[in-house]
Order: sequence, then structure tokens, then C-alpha cells
Amino acid sequence: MEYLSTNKIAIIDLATSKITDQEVDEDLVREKIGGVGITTALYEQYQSEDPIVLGTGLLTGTLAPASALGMITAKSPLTGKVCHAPLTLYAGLELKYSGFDYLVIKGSSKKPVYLWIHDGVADISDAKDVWGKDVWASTDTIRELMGDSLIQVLVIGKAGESESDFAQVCINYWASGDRWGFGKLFGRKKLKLVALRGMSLLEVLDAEGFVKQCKELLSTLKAGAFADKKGIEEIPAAIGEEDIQKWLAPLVHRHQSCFNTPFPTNTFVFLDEDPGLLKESEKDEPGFLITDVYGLLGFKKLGLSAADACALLRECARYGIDAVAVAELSQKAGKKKPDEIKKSFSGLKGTLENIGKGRFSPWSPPKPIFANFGGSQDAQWWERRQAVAYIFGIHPIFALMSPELSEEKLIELANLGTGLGFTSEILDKVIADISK
Amino acid sequence: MAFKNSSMSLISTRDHLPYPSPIGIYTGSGASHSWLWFVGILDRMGFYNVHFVDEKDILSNALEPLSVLLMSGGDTFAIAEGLGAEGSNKLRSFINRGGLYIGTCAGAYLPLKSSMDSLNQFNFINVKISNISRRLSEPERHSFQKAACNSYGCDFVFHVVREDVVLEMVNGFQADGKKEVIAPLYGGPSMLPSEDIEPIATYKGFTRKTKFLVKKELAEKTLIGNIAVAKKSMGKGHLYIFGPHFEHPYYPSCNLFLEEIIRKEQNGRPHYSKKDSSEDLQNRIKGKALRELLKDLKRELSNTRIMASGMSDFSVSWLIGNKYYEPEKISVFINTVWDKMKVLESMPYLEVNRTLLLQCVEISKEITKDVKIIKSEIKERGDATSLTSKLFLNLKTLSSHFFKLYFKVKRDQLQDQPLGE
Repeated sequence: MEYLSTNKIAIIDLATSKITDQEVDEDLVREKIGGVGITTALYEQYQSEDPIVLGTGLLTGTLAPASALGMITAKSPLTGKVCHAPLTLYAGLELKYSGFDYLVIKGSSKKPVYLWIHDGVADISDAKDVWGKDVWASTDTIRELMGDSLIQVLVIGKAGESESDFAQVCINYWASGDRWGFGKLFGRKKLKLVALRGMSLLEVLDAEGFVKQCKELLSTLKAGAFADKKGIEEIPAAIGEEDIQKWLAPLVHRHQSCFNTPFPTNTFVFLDEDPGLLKESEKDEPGFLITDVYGLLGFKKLGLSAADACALLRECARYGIDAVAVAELSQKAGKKKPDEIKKSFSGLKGTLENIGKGRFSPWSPPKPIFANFGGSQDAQWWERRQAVAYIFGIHPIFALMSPELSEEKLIELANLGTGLGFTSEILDKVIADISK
Repeated sequence: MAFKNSSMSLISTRDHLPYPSPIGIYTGSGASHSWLWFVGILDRMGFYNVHFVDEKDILSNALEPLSVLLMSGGDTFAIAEGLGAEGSNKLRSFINRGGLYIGTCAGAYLPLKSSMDSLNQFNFINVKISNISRRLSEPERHSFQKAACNSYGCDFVFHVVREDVVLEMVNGFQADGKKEVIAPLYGGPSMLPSEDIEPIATYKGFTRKTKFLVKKELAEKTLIGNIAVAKKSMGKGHLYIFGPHFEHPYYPSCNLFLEEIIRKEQNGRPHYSKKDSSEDLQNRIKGKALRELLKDLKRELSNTRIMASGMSDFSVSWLIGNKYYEPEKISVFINTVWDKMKVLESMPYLEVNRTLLLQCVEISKEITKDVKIIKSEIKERGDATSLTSKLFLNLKTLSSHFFKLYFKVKRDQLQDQPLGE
């Protein structure tokens, strides 16, 4: 596969420490396009070996607006179904530029290991320096070991190591959209983390046409319904949840976008410093980047102050546990004090009501945000919109804000980039296949 | 008929291939990173009979089989000291018997007449430079002392601009068919007219990309109208000296001019060499074992380039000898090797010298380790100097070993192609 691709898939067997590289078959791309179309196919190919498949969309890491998305495809310990979790911030981008479009991680290691994926090289290394450490310390350690602070880290904390049902694969220091317990799979495989970094280049067939189209699309998008809004705190009211803007406002320090995404879906709150501080803080990360609206809402519903809710989100991220599960199970158990809730992380058990019903992570709200897409916007609409985002590598929350980023436009970009002649019929078939 | 002819030539010349004459690139003491740019030019030209020589090689008669020696930028004093009187004699003999010497920047200063120790052994060209402090008035001297300069006894050599300068090709010379060309100047000489040289190009002006290190008037006074590129005949050979870096990869017209000089020299000296079979066949590696070793090298190169990628933000530079090195030069070495590594990887049938490749792997591991320490020291203390000399020496050794291996592969490929293709 020559265009918009690194043309490599790594098959990593943790049981034997053997790594083999495969080329990305152009026929597979013609048939499955990319993203979850291909991660699902790879999952099926290796399903007897309990694989975790990491992948990127066809447009991930390009100039296409919101092309930030990578994904984890695996069987969820919570639902027993093959599901997809989003990799946002810069993780999807870095996976693609690390020289592999897809990683298939199969088998289990006998001792804790981590993967270092860089410039088309995949290495399995002893995780003795990070096993037992929380998410933050692990990320710091691996970046120091490799000598680069831009390394993106998919990492589990103690929740994953102890194989908690609610263990989450975090991204660097922050919560991710893994609401499927994939952290437990990492822990079961004795896989502490996957570190990603690379400086590959992507070839684009019609570079000029592709760039022109991306610029036009971005210009249209910027005039869209989200134009005067920013931050995670804007989202709840837009999806019919309670308005949390005033509640969170005193802590808000800045907003942060994922790679090339026109709307910042993340909000950084200062917890240990004055949010209005102008000078550079002397503390490392004196707060928390909120990346999951439902975790935040869950703690608010427990009656916590914004500061307590955010501090608890931070503790969840360090422990590598899904804050939504923590909030729901705390509610059921009548736990409302932060210390009490934090103590419950270890050995947290219970049945969740608010669990994803489909293939895609309920981290993305179930309806349009700010924008009007026209027509019916039911669960089926949502599932298709998410599928499109996960196939092309578009930020799945931004996809719910941007009707301008239509299926036709994405197909057009994919064709400019690859010349493979994708059609809406092919897209329909890919979506049907992954929904089976 | 055509088939018959090509078959005939295939049989008759199989063991005596018409190689271009051997070309040497100096990588020894004082050479900085710009010799890597010559590698790119020769590779593009399809001149694969390339050899990397340091001062020890030159003293051991490594210039004898060469027809061209490319001496790029760096620290002129260190080059002169490294070669010494014996090296100077070897160089003089090389040119006298018909060799072509191409020197850019430091490589251009080296053969100029000088009274300084070490340099005074290379007085091949009787020409004076305009960018020396003795030509300045006292106020100018004071002002220039603040600009980039190198000590030169009681005087100093100073540099008035960096980046682009406009050159006028003179005496009928043209670059890429043009009489005016833009070239990058990074401290190279500005020469005064002399009967000992034939001017090829003079400094004509500046562009929007010119970075002035002194006031524009002083820069004009130092450069404009003076000689940027010159030629001198010596014995049966020639010296071409370039103030600006004509080998810089972003200046294709300049590259083309260099190519023409080298090609002209090569055409005049057809060189027939017996098929290159001197290497110990037992020491060759191929197949899976080779791929594994290449992956080991790739792993270390990647580790280094990732670590080095963020270092260009650090505002540090290290003085090694008389030359300042910035962190981004680490990436220049590593990325040049990296790019050619990808070419090797894409070759289906590959066989290389095992020892040399193993050495590359070992050196690259050492480089990764040192870059990590240096990066961490810069972060903690704001600077790191103790390891940098070793690091840049290792980067040079790694690159020259790797390109030795690379060009050998390219030569082998040519040998394996039937003639006439």
C-alpha cells in the first residue's frame, strides 16, 4: 500500500517474543478502507490467539481535519463482544508515524513487558522499570528512558496490573475512551505499555488536490455550529445533560485539542495552582486534563465539588481505572467522599448499567453535539457516524459536531490521497461487515 | 545484430568494468558534517567508486589511487594539524600527478598561503583573503570582533554574513547554464584577486535570506567584487576552491557545477578496474542474518534520531577544536545515514561486509547512549560538553563506515548488471 500508509503491520507474539512484519495489502485496503475495517479483519484473522489490535484510520495523521484517531480493537472483558476504543490526543498520529498502520498483539508474556514502536521497528522490552508504577510515573519513566518527551504512551496502571474489570488503557497521563476494560487485557498479557514515536512520512497520491480539499473543508468547518465554543464543559448542555460550565469555570486553565482537530474537546483544570496564574507553574502538571465528559458528570452527580471531582478524575487516571465505572459503582454503594471512593479502586467490583451497547465506545455522546445533521439521529445513526469516524481516523466526538465532514467528503479525500476509487457502496459494505 | 553486439561486450569486458575513477571524501580530523552533502551529490551522479579517507589514510598513501579529493567544511586548523607536513606532501604529490582537489569552506582555506603554524605547510595557492582583521580600520576591527570570527595569530578571520549570497560567474564559467547563482556561505573565504588563480565566480550581492552578522555596508566592503570560487593548476592537476558550500543539497545549480567539474575530470581519466573481489568472501553477510543486523542498526539510528529530534530547541553549541557544533548537527548525520538505510532495505538481494556492519551497529549503540546523557545534562545543567567530542567523532565514523558499505553495495549492483542495460 503506497499512499496514506506506512505499508506495515507488526504481528507481535508476546508468548514467544517473536515479531514479524507484513505489508499492508492494497486489496485489503480496497475492500476494508482502513481503521476498524482492517482492525476487525485482523482481529478475526488472529482471534484464536486473543489479540489486541491497534490501528489507524486511512486519513489518520494527515491534513484532513480532525484526523487524530487511532483505535484499539479487542474483545471487551465487560461485554464479551469485539469492540473499539478511541486513541485520541496524539496517540493515533504517533502510531501511524511510528511506521506501522496496525499492530496485532497476540499471546501473553510470562513476565511484564512493554512495546517500543519507533520508525518501523517494534521492540519487546522488559518492563521491570515500570511494572508496579502508576500511569503517570510509568509515562515519565518511559519518556526518560527513551530520551524524548513527545513519546505517546498507551499504559495501564495498578488497575490493569491487577486485572480489574474496569481497568483502562490510558494515554500518557490522561483517561482515554477505553470503556471496555481493555486495560484488563493488557494486564492479562503482562503488557504494561505501548510507547509510540516515529518520524515517518506519508505519501499522498494527489498531494496538491488533497491539501486544497483539506483547506477548503477546514474553512467550511470553522464556520460551523461549534465555532464560538470550546472545551469539554460545553458538551453536557449540548447533549441534554446538566450545564456544568459555571461549576467548572473557576478551575479552567486552558483547552486542548487533539491532533489537527478544530474543536478542543479537552479541558485542563488547575487543581494545585491558581487557574488565573500567568507565570509558568513550577509544578509538573499542576492539575488535570479532562478528556472524558462522562467521568466528570458521574462525579458531579455524586454531589462532589468541581475540585474534588477533578482531583478524583486525576486519581482514576493515575490508577488507570475507568472513572465512569467508579462513579456509577460509588453511587450504587452510597459512597460520596473522595477518600472513600479512592480507597474503593482496589478490588472494585459490580455490574454496570451504563455500559456500551454497540461496538463503539460510549465515550462519544450518543447524539449530535451543537450541530444539526438533519433526519433521524437515533442509535443507528450514531453507530454509523462512529463507524465512519473509526474507519477514516476522524476524532469521534468531533464527528458528532461536524455534518460538514460528510461521508462523501471523506471518501473524496481518501480517493485524492490513494486513488483507490472508494465509493459509498464500499463504505456501506465495510460498515455492514464490522457490525456483524 | 544488436543482440549479438551486446552479448559480445558482455563476455569481453565482464571482468574489467569501466568504473569512474575513484573519488575520495575527507572525513578525518577537522571535517564537520558538510562532507555528507558530497555523498548525496556523488550518489545522484551514479559515481559509486567513493572512498572515505582520514589523515591516517592519507599518510598511508590512500590518495594514490584517487583521481579526485573532496575536502569540505570544518576546522581548517584541525585539518592542517592532522595532516601535518607529511600529509601536505602527499596532497601536493596527488595534485601534481594529475589529481583534482575540490575544497569548500575550510577545504578552501587549507591550500591558501598562510604564515600560521601547520597551515603554512599548505601554501599551494598564493592568494590573500579579504575577511581577515588586518584589513580593517581600528573601529571596524573592534566592531568585527563581536561578529563570528576565528583567531588567526594576532589577527582573526571574520564572517560577515551567513546563508545566501549572490555570485557572478566570470571568465566564461556558468553554473547550470546561468551567469548568476545563489550559494550558501557559512564562513568560507572571500579572496582578493591574484595572478596565481583563475577566478570562476565573484561575490555580487545578497538576498532576502542573507543573514547579516555585521552592518550591511561592512559586509559589502568585505565581499562584493571579491572572489568566491577560483581555480588553480598545479603540476598535472587542479585545485578548485569554493568559499560558499556548492555541495549544499538545497542549491541544485551549485551542485550541477560541481558535478560538471568532476565529470570533466572523470572523462579525461578513464579508469579500468578489475572486478572488485578483494574483499574476504567469508566476511560477507546476506539473507536473514543481514536483515537482522540491519534492523539492529535501524533500531539504534531511530533511537538516536528520536532523542535528537527535540534538541534543536536547545540554545547550546559546543566548541570542538575551533569549530562550533550545534545539537541539530547530530540529526544531520543520523538522518543522512537513515535515508540511505532505507535504500539498502529496499534492495532484494543484498550482501555486505559483516565486520563493517557490526561496527556500525556497535558505534550507533554508543551514540544512542551518549546522546541520551548529553540531552539529560543539557536539561539539568543547561549544557553538556564532556561527551560531545566523542559523540561527533563517533557520528563521523559511523557515517563513513556506513557509506563505505553503501557505495560498495552500489558498485556490486553495477557489476551484476549486464553491460548495455
